[in-house]
Amino acid sequence: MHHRKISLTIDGRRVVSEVEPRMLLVQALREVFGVTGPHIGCETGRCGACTVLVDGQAMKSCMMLAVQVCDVEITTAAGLAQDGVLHPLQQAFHERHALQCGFCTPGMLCAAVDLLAETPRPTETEIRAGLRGNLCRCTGYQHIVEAVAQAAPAMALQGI
Amino acid sequence: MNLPIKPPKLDQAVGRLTGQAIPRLEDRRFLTGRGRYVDDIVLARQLHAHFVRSPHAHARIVSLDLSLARTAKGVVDAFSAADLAELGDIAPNWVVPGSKVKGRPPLARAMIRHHGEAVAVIVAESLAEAVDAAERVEVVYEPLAVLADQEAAMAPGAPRIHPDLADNVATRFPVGKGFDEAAQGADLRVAFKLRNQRLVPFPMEPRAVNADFDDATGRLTFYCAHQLPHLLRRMLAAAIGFPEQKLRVISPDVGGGFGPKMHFYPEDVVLAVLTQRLKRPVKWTETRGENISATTHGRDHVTHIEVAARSDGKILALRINSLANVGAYLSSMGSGVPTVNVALFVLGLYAIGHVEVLITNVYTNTTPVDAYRGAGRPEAAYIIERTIGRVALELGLDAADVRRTNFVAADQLPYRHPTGIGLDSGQYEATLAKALEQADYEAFRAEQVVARQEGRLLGAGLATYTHSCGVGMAELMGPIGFDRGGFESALVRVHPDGRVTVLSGAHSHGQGHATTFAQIAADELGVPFEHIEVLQGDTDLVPMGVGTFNSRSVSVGGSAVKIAAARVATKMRKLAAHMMQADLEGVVLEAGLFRTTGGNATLTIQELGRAAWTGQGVPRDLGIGLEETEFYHPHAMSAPNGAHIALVEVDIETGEIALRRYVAIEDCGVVINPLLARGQIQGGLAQGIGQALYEDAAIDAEGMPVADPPIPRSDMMPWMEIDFVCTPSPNNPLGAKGIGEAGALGAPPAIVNAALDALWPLGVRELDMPLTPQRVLAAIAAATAGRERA
Repeated sequence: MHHRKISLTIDGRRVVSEVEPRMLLVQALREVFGVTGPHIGCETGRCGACTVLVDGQAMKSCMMLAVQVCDVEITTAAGLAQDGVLHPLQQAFHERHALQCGFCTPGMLCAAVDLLAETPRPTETEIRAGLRGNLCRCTGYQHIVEAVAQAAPAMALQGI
Repeated sequence: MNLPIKPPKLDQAVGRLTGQAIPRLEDRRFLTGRGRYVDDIVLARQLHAHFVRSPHAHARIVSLDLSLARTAKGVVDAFSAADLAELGDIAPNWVVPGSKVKGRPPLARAMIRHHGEAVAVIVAESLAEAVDAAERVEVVYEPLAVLADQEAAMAPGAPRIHPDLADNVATRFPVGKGFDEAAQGADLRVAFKLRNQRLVPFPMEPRAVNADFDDATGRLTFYCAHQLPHLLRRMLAAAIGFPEQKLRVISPDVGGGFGPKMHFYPEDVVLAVLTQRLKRPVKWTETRGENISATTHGRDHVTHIEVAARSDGKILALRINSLANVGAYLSSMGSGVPTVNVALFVLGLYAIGHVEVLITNVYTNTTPVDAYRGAGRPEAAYIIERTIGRVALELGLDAADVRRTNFVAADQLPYRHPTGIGLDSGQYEATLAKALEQADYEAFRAEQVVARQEGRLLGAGLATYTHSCGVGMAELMGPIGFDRGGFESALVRVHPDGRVTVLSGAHSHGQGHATTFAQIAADELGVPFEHIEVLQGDTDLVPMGVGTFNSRSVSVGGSAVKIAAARVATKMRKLAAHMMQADLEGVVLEAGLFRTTGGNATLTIQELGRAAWTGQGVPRDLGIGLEETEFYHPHAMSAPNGAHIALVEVDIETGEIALRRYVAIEDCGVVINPLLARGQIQGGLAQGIGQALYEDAAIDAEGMPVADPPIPRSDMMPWMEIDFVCTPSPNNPLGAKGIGEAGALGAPPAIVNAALDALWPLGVRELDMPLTPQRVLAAIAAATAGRERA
């Protein structure tokens, strides 16, 4: 198969490579660019462990081809912290114990960033609905819901 | 099963950090996308393996041709069972005496016995090339009749899954006798049947292996997402005939386990052989599809229950006959989980004098069944808690009263059941009372009466479950055929700079040992909590250990840390006393500084550490260093327990069950970190609620498991109201009991009891999980039809 050239920004870093047209975005992130925060937990798009922000919008990176994302800006969990300071969602996930094995966490954080961008002061029901695309098998979601609710005002204050 | 309870004589005082809700030390790497799971590891000259799997659940392999696949682009080689003829079947690690053992073949030889069984493996330069080459593998199967269900497999004349066995029975496990005698004179005798459905455990990270043989050193490094690194090393070394000291198992971050990641699998053996043959590292990461049909499942019992009770609800005798579907082969713990772990625990918290149990493990054409969160004890809790609920409904008594009538009394503790299982400590009535109060139970009962008059169906369900945690005692594990140690290891080392390394043979796959074990060590050593690093999951680094399962890590692994740290602390104080020329009793360490009470002398931990590790100025009899290793071997296990209440409303039109409230009060003894303990309870509850309402492996008549297991999503879960009661366990130095499996035990019976409580007036007597709207509607329709016939 002919390789195609792609160029994109990942967590603020400009990268260029050639990939097979059939390569999924999540495979490109993990295998070509060494960004291993997005995880592969299924092959059908049901689990959300691969969720990243594509130009600010949460997308499942296993449901896209790498060649579809030319000249976009991708943010993963690794790009959320600024200058070593955790993003308010990361801080709230830490304080509320919203992660256990950590496998779903990078995707969950990206989904939560998108959720709060759309709904800055979500209710519990809105948080649960907004995160329903991301499976977590460890936490039962309660601490995640608490963490997102806690982070919301902090993010509004910081204008994130 | 009798062993005297011998509490170790150790300080049980709760320390400064024990009991504090401290956020985890290990979070940062996970939050910033820097967790390191097996699939994240790519080695130089990496090869990739892809398994070719059977689409049939039962078939004869007529022919298998790998020649085209071998010539595909990027393919290094391809292997079938004939190419790996030196390998025997995977030996189970727990063989209940009398079991007829059929282990999983590394690759299927002539027969396929479950969907997804591997028939060949392709190794290529890239995973995509290996997957492409699989299209060129030519396998001709002769499909055979599929036996997926244990009742069908036990029917007279049923085909045999393993033709060299007389029937499909893998194990018969009888316990107790005397039901008929004890049942005489009972006011109530009821027989009913229930099904504890098969579940797909579904850790978010599937299994993953990267096997790396170095022919220059003769060492094999085996990266594997696993719960028991040391046991995996032993099993793997034995299976492939490899010297154990040259086999290094590294289990880095593990993305959830829940049981299936403690077993030993065909793919493990195959990859360990391939890397030696090819002299390059070979990696395999399971797909979710493979995870559903190749990784072990959980539960799957069909159970007949007979109960005899007095009119006041006192249970006189219990008889249980259960058929456990163990799948096509006996997995690691496959014979013990459905038998020992169910039969011995069916009496729960209740003083019931007579119990008779027969459990039969049955081979079928399904994925092997093994330990899944709770591992047999949820099945036992489901049996007894559903029985209590049934007795209450039959007699028109309150379910809480029937529990009180049957509880083991406070003055009977410690108590031993006729099955041999011990209850160490608890406050069963107080725990139940706290749950009832939290749930506003009385008010709900009043509301239920009014609602019934309005045609609305409300139900309250209780479960006051228990089980045993903190396995265990070698003296008991040997006779039941459980071939592993019950101890756990810890090494505590204070470095010259006063910082601390703790090595532990337990292995976190999300539980947070790096935090809880640091809390335990900090309390003993008197050093800042942040100065302690807990390392696990590397057999070259960590003293021989056992691993994480059975909610044992705090009570056994944490106790090992406490004891080792206490010994180091004693040595530090002796050395400090010598260096400060003070009395031992007068030396205290706080925040890294030694002081003498009543004197002005101080000594930094760095000064002490340097002295200890150079030996300079240290009396010879104190020896070198500040390092201690403990292999903590428990004398007894503990019996965590809890009271769970589910309040539901059933929609009579749609069959939907709304979980209005869920309350869980847990007595897990001394809690090291309440924040993390809550996380464990909530996670267990999610799996228990998932089992009650949604989840089902739903293997069809062709032996195919469900393609998309309905794992609960965020909007499918209720708010969980959780609180604690603390009765310290007398059986370990921490007073801890275990919490990881609690939710998975309490939630299924609590929720099903609630649904039956709601539906009982309609004539519904039994309802099996998951409580889908279709199933609820069918039960209502059947009950209505039954009433009309009558």
